Amino acid sequence: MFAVSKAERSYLLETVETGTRLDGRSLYEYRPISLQVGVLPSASGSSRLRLGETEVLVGVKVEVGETAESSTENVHIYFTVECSGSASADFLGREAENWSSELQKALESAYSAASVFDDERLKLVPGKFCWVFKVDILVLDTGGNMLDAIGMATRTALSTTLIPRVNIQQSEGTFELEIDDNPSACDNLKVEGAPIFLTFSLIGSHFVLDPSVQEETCSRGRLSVAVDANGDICYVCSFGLLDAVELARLLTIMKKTGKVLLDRLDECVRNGNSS
Amino acid sequence: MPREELISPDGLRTDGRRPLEVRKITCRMGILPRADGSCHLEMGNTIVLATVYGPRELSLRPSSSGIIRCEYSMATFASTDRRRRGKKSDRNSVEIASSIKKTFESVLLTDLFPNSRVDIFIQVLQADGGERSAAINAVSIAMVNAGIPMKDLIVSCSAGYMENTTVMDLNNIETIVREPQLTIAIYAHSEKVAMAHLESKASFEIFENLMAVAKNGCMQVFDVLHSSIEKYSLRLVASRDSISTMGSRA
Repeated sequence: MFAVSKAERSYLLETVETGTRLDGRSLYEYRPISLQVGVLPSASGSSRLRLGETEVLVGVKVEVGETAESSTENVHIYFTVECSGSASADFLGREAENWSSELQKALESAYSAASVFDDERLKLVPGKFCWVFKVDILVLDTGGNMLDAIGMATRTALSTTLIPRVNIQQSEGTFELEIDDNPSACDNLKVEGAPIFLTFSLIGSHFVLDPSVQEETCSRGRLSVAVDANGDICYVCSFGLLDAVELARLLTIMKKTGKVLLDRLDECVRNGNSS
Repeated sequence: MPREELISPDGLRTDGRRPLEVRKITCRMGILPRADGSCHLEMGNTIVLATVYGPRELSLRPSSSGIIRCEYSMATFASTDRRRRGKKSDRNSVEIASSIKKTFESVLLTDLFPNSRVDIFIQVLQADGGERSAAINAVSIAMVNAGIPMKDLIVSCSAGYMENTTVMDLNNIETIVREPQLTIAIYAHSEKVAMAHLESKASFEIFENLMAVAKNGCMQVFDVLHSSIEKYSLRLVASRDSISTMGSRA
């Protein structure tokens, strides 16, 4: 468990009152983000993202899977979050699993709400075959605000994912799928609709964006929201006391910051690696 | 299974190496600022991240010497076929973790820190053969980075016997054939063997041969690791100088 002494806590609270934070950021500012894409040659898409001291590695594997008759979805997406024991002393034993399932759940609900993969090109045989995306997330180091880092890394990993072309042949009611194994005959996955997460911590009477691990330890409440490029809200999760007026104000800030972050991420992916 | 040719008529291996050649090793120390020691080690396409915490307080019963704990896990995306074997409880991982723990119990001066423990975490990010020796090398460097007193530096390398040739530092293709394979870890200076692990049977002559080749590999690995530790330390010394001049100015 990360511990903060009484003196540290009161110092942190006082600094936040003045509108700055321990590391010199203003209240609604993110820590520096550095991003690398295509780091895992064995995955269809991958990214490594560092947000302050938090570091995550994401690999996406793409497969063709069978689907239930009633399902109309083109894509099944599964998330697994693994918290490496080295990342934090909190990750010993069951605690790591609790974190994993919490983060997994958040990603699942945000991605299913956002209906990211409404793309005609991803259609295989409805009710028979669909794409299966397996997103494996590994948390290498935790310096607070894992959810936002994971959200951004997942989105970038997906945006660099290559989908092989598939020929579908139908004969006597059975389908044969032939996957083009030419590595250049691949389509880039479109992820315009994929959301990212933004997290606020309530410290004293102020909200701070992108809390560090010290700030998380001292916080009284938390608000995590997933927004997509249109500014639509895909997921909300909050703890602690929040009044409705405050919530509305925070959501407008989130919409604005979310847009900026999304644009920057897209730009990074276009330019290859960058920070 | 059709047998692939592991060594070409020219005497080159599948990845273009000669039999007595280790893969390219890249090592970065101290990359995780919050850990006491960390190391990101690449041996060819095998990538391992080792983290060391400690010595820190032991909350359980008192002990006269330090205790080591080790956790080994493989990322789900580490190999080309996605297997759910990354779990720390998986048998293979537990075996490797305990062998690494025992290896380092012999080399750390645990008597110097009673009532405390050292935690080792190993994460395999990419698996292309030789994970065990890559893990040991990475932990060794992470220990140096954490400044934990050791008798000697431990280095590790594997060797295998195939198609009448002894080769060192096996990659994944060479690992999956069921031929004699030996992984050893030795003390870099005294050349004592700290750990040896043989898979499938080998005649005495072949074993001796494997041992000699693996030792030779260990020394090649040591040269690389030693120079990267040196480089890292020199950089630290240089930064200390600049800090002290800043201090005297103030």
